[in-house]
Amino acid sequence: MNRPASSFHFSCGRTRREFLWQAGNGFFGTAMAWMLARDGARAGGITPSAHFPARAKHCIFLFMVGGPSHIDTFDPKPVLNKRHGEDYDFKPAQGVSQKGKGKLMGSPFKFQACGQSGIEVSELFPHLREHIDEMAVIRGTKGDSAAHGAASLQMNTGFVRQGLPCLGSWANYGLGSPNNNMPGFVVLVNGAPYSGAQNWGAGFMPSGYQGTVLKTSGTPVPNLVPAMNRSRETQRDQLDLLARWNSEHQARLPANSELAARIEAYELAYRMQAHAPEAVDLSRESESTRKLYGIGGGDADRFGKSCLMARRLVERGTRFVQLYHSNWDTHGDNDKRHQKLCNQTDRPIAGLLADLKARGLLEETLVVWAGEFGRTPVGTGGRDHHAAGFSTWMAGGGIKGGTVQGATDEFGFHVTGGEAHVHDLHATILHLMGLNHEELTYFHSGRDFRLTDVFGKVLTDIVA
Amino acid sequence: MKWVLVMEGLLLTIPALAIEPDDPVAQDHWAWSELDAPMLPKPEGFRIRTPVDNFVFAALAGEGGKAAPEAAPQALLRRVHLDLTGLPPTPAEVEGFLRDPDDEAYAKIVDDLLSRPQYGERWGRHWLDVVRYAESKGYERDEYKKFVWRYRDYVIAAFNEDKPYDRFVREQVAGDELADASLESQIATTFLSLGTFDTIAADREVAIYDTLDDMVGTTAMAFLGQTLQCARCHDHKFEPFSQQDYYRFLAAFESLDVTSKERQLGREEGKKRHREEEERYQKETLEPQRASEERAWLPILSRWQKDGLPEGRKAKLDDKQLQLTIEAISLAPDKRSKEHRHMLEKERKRVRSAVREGATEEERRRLSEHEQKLAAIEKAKPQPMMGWVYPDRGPRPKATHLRIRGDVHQKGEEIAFGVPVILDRGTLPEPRPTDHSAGRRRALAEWIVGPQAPLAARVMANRVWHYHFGRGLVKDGNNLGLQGGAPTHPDLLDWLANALIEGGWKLKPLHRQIVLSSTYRLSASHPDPESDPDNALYSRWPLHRLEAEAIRDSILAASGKLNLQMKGPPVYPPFADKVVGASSGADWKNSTEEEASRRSVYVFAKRAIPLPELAVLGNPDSSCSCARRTISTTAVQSLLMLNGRFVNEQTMHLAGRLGEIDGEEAQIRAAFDLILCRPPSTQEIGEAQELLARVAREKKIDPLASLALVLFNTNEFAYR
Repeated sequence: MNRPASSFHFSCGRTRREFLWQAGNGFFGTAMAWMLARDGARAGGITPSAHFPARAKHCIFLFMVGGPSHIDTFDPKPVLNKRHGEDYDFKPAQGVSQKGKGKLMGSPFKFQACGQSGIEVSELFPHLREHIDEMAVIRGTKGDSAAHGAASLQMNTGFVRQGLPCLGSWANYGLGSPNNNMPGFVVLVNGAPYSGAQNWGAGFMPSGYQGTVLKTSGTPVPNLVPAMNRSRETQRDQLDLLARWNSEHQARLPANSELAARIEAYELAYRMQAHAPEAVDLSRESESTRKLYGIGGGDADRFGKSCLMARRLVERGTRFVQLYHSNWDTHGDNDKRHQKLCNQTDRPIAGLLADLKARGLLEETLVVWAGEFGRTPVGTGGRDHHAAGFSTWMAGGGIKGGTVQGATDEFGFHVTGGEAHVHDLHATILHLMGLNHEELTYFHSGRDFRLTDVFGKVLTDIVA
Repeated sequence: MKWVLVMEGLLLTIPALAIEPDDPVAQDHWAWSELDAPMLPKPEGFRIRTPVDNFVFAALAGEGGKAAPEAAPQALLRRVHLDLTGLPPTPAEVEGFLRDPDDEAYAKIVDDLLSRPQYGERWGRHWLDVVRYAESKGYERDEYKKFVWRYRDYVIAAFNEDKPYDRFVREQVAGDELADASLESQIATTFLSLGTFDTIAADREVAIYDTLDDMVGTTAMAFLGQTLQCARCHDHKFEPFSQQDYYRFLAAFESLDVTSKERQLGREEGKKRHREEEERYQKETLEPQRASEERAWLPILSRWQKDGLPEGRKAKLDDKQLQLTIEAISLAPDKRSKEHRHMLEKERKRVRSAVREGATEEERRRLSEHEQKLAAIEKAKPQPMMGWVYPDRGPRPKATHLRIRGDVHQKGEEIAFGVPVILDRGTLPEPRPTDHSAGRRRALAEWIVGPQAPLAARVMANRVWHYHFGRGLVKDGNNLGLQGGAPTHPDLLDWLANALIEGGWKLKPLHRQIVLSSTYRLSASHPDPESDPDNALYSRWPLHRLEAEAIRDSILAASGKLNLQMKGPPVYPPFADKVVGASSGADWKNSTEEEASRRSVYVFAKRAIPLPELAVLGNPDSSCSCARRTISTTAVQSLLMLNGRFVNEQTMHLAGRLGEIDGEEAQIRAAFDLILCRPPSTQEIGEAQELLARVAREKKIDPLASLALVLFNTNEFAYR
């Protein structure tokens, strides 16, 4: 739509940031930069930028689909272990726990105090726990739904409904993308999450803010390789003629930022064809690096590759990378399956933290680990959905390592103190990226929307 | 103006109703006031064709502006074809208009376009945006909602027959409650059930009220342009809508069973009629054909019984069964025993193949003819009319309660059915209960389009303008509230709204007033664009992006593959990445190429995995009503249009089409005619020839396909 450029925004309470994006842009920065130059010259524009200095330029969000058990990983419960097998009835927690009554189920996994901080982590993560002093373990995490679909949406968008923009969209909306050749929000899927693409959707924001799914094998970006394989020379010839015809078309018309942005998008697409394959080409990594991530056959191979790809993307300026790993929904055979799932992710995540640190990237990259919820302390063999109290963690950019936020009761059911609602995680992540969650708003359907709705507080205890 | 709320140990201060209904700001708000009957201004020095020009040019003259020259005939023709039908003109249509581009010819073309069925597909698709149309439930499972497509067909037909808009509103909100309710009007109420529903929500009450909330929100936005939805949890912060207003409105819908699924439509008589039809079909169509097939079996079976089967054939019936079958065929139907009937019904397939064993080649040929006839007849079996509409729970609904802070588990005061105070002019009729419902929805619909319907008319007039020009007189067509901003041309908007009502709420006359105007015919170029830098005054044509559907359909039209078949269940174009990110990808079927080449409005609208050709190019997320699509420009779009399978396949088809023409220059001319709807300049011909020569290096790709790809990617193609 050919929107008037200056008569349109502040009148309806929109921020300039929004206006610029709506006027014809996407997650690729170049076209935007062009518009900013043009528009800024005219109206004294403000570039999208942080509200205050950022602690983290990038975020890697490791999403454990299905809901990992906090009781078997980051939240030791000796009392629960001792009373294993007893019948127990927790106070009802309607909607936030699938099972509050039944036999207590202890964890067979041994916990050990790790690092300088002495935080206890289970033997399921032998490599990851070596990095405990970089991590803030949030044992008092809480969400609003114990249903996969709704809870996944909440972990990503703050709302249990669909149709809202996700964290990665908000971050790029707030900060723009630092790389002109690559998308600012990339999603790597190793097992699809519940509610599908809604998890990385832009909701009511322009579609350009949605996550770009890079495949973890084959062609990484959709349509990066022509459906009919023409040579790069031929493509260049076509794009040259396209550019010529487009500029002749534009010359016949009054200045129009959209037309210009569209011309630029083709050049960006051409550059992406050259850059994206390199960005995700893991064969350029040394054998020792690959090994660090657990690549080389074996359980950890697949997720290791995704983690390594995440590092390469962050290195190249991608603002937000989200990795999905599934499926932690261990209703049956909880212990054996957790063993396997942890084998698949332990080395990759530990390798990612080590590698980021060695390259000096960890201090500017926030790493977040979370599922949509945790699992119940009652069950026989399996554990059910539990959002009333579970564990997540963050490390890197701006995080005070070796800290614990909050706690659950002796069974791991209710949060007893230091509650960190999903909204608080979001507020904290935005804060570390330099954004005030109360000021980052988007006007839609008659009101300003926030990632944190009317909630959220920054978890200052885990901020360095 | 503030009240304090204690919430889980957290003190929150939330302002009470920011603007009271009796606040002068609310009282004087333009959109809620009665329609003006503005005088037609008479600007000097402009060519006035319809009253639209009086208003637009008066505003332009008021700023000392000048109108652009008129667009070239081919540009105008492409503009109006795409606008009214979503498809480009054919080269023959362009040629015809170029021969005779006068006003009379243009008016005839407009009438012709408005009478084409493709008009309903184009404008129906606009309406589908407004009503958040999709064919699945969303959320984790994203289940298929069967027969929702009947509503899509209803909408297309409504636009094509120019159903009066007030009737259109009544049918969608209360089609089941109308005195003259019909199958069609019942299908219209699918409008209410188009929203998302979380079938496995942890809290089912919440899921139900989220769905009702969607109904309230969509109804208020689609027909009234109001953001009432914001008042679910607390009074609206920017509009004079209280939480009570929200629940008054909700009371119209609360008795709908939003957990239901597809069901047979119609009243008892209709269902009875269907049963009768089914019986008649059985008696008059199916049974005679079966009897005729059986008669063809008889000599073969008798021969088998007498002489045995020919050498090497397998006996698929034993002696008793054979005997029973022969007897059954020879007896009158009412004389047959249960065993007899068993052979001709349950065992029919086996008997059929047994008969083949005994048949000669010639007999087999005739048997096949019988089978084909029967298969065709079975296809024509009358089907019950199914639809996805929510049933109402009865004429005496339970009391509606306000929900404190929007929490469904915290009931507050009892609330009576009604409309928001600020919009209430005392014209809400008393609901008249029907045999199955309280009649509140009908009362609401009557009120929406009632005698004083400034909002309904303004909202729809603004939408019509929006889709013609790519932007509304009010910029957000779903928000005509205090926060929505003032219209750029208030008198024009009121004139259009009046014209809509006075014309019996028909849209086609309104389209004519607009597309026949001089304003609509202006060139997108202007000798002095800086005199109206943002084109706020419409001093030139506001060039704007084609919708995803129009791009895809135009590509199919140019390639020659477009299949104009209308109606029916959705189609499923090939989809490479469907497995990504969907736990419910199973119901994306594969259509044949012919089916897949139907217009985009017929493509399966699945919430979790929309077709990339449409979603990447801006087909809206169907979570809520969409009044204007966001326009984004991304490299992902460019990659799709350059490298995607769909576009490339169509360029090959187009190249095949061009290949039938003799001579390179003629081929280039045809490519421009088909894609850009205009002849190329001499310079462009030269440039195209140069490209054709260079890309001949590609052994496997027709150079004409490479040229077509460039043309499909031009801004000229993507803008109207």
